[in-house]
Amino acid sequence: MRWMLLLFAAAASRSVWDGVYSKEQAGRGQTAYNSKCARCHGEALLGGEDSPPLVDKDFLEKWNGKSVGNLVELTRKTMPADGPGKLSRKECIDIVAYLLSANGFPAGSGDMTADASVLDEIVFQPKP
Amino acid sequence: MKRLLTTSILLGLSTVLMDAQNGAAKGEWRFYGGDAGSTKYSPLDQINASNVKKLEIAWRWKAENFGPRPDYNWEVTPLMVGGVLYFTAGSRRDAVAVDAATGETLWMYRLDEGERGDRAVRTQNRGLAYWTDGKSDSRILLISPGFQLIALDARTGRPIPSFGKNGVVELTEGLDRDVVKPGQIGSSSPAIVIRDVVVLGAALQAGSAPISKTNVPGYIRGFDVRTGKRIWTFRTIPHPGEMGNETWEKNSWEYTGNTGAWAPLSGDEELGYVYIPVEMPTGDFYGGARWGDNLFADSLVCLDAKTGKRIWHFQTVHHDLWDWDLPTAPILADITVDGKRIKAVAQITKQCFIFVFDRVTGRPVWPIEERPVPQSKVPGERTSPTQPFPTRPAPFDRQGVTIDDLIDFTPQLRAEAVKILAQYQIGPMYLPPAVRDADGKLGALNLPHHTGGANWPGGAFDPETGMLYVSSITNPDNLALVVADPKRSDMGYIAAQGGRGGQSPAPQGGMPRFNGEGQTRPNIGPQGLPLVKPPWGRITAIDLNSGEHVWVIPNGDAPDAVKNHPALKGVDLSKAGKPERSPLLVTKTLLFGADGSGLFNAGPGAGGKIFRAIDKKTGAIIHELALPASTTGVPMTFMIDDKQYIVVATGARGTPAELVALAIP
Repeated sequence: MRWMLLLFAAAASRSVWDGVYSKEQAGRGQTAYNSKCARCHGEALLGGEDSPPLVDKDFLEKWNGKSVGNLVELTRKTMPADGPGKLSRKECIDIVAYLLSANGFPAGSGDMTADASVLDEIVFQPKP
Repeated sequence: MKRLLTTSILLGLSTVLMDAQNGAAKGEWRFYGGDAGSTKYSPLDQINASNVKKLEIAWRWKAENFGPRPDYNWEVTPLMVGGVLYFTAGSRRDAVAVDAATGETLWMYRLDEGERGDRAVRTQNRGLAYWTDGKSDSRILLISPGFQLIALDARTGRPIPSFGKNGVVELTEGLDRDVVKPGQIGSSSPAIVIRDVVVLGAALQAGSAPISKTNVPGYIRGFDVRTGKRIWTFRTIPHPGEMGNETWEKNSWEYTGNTGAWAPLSGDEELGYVYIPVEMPTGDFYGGARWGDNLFADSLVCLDAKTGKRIWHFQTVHHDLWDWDLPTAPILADITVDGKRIKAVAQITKQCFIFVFDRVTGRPVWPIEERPVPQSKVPGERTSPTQPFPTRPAPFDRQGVTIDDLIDFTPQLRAEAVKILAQYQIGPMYLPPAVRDADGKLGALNLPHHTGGANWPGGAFDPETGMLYVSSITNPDNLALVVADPKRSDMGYIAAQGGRGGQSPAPQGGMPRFNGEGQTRPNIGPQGLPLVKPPWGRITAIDLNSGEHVWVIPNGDAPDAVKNHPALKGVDLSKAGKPERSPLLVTKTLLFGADGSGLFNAGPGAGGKIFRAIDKKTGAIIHELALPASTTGVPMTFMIDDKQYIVVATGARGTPAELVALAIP
């Protein structure tokens, strides 16, 4: 029981600064982003055509305190806006890995997991 | 058999028989806009006020399995020639031929373009162009998502080997750029064929927050319909020595791009002219890197179809900072003004003006005045001191926000609206975008906002009565700029929030941010309601002989999400109008409209299933019919085997696109 609590505490303390995705995964995400998202959000993720930016102040303020799992689920359920629900969960996770990379969060050694309970514990926060 | 006979007779007719401005002839629909003049008018009268209530669905054609994923927002209008409908379908923009009486698929053409198709700059598709030599040669012209021009045999759907390279012409060449990358340029609207020349424009990446001031120019080009050879190029951004080059200061003509024509084009076969509604240059809301008037951006340009030579032009916005480029096909209209017959062209604009010209000479039918406009305070910007204001017809929707425009359903809502308004800079038309938080304001509140009062659905013109019907929305939004991070963009300033800069102070407990499964443009008024008074969507009837407005009707009632808002209990919203542009078709007997798609930047609750037959003279609703989903394209009509049909594209989030054919059983 104590072991499980410790594990939970360890998981809960993770943030986007902890190397939660791999470079390769961000690369896959960039390819998917360019074909599925860039049309509206722009090649440099600055937003456009009434779509919000996915980098820098506006994006980070909006997501501060929320989880990577939230972002994956929002993407999966609502994007692309003209035909939502057609991106696979894996594609969404790869795309989010690319967003993390584009926003300057460090890559780690392994891919971001598909485990929703883990993703829900990875939190956007300012640089520690 | 009768239908086959009709087909062969029609194939024998010369294209000259089709007047540009007299509507779709012979019960057919040979152009995206009905005729080359984009009137969206048909002289058919079988469906009329006395029997329209009997309209039923005759057949449905499902686009779900065309393209790698279902299309929901199908902006198509089919062509009908000789009993066959021709249209584009699906997210790969396949070309399809369908039996017009039964909906049976006759052929389909699919081009897998790989990465250039996947990265297409525009996924929408509005349709095709048709051409025949009047004998045995009839062709369908398709612009692919990856920007190639394909000529297909209209009978078989097979590419014409003698056209271009095995039926395909590369469109990314000849644009004065060494490299054109996939996803930089494409088109969502069809080409038009005038005097055996295929004329086409281009759509480019949206310019709200571009990565660079450097982009590909969207030149207008003409191609031989028989061989695919490029005959001419009209540089919408002129080079030195060409007219207008001096309106691009500091050599900005060298690098600036966009300035295409993303809306459908019109033409006059008799005059041999094409009419081009030109887009704005790169950078929707900041022009610090392109000082000057920027000709031929935001201009209606008349070109000789055979040579591409400029006949006349008129710039509707100088040095555009509002994304108010020309959104819809110019409408060719023969009108009588003060007893004088005029071959006119009417250009509907996003900023809710209609510019009317003699289409032979380019002279304004009514005076257009250059008036002083507010000037930008954004560093590096240089606003045009004046903008053109047509003196007639009056604007078809509201322009600029004042305190009197705010919703006042209850004193509390009104008080909240006043507080919200105080967060923004407000002013008259052409209030320039402002840097976010400058002068303690969130930005500049613009009405209409940058997708306009009107947009691509435009309007419809009745050549028998001279009436022009226009659909528009009333929805302000904030134009706020932020400094572009030089690591990401060399623009200097880009739009905050992609040009959707408005913020409602109390969204929670108000309107849903999401319309079904997908995101919509949020309202910025109190408790998530619209900020300004209804109607939020309308249709205006304008007599183009006099320039007078004849009637205005709301586009149906308010969206359910507004009607059911707790703060509006007991308020009559039956004439508030759905916040979407009604796609319009006019026939000898009726005007047809619909709730619209609600899929492109529309407010919460926009769109709906209702299709309407409207009295042309009074605007009275004669009949309402619920379709399987929202109307996403402009309806068209035709006659086959003595039966009149109306065909319209439908779809909604979660409901894949289909064509619905209506007829009286």
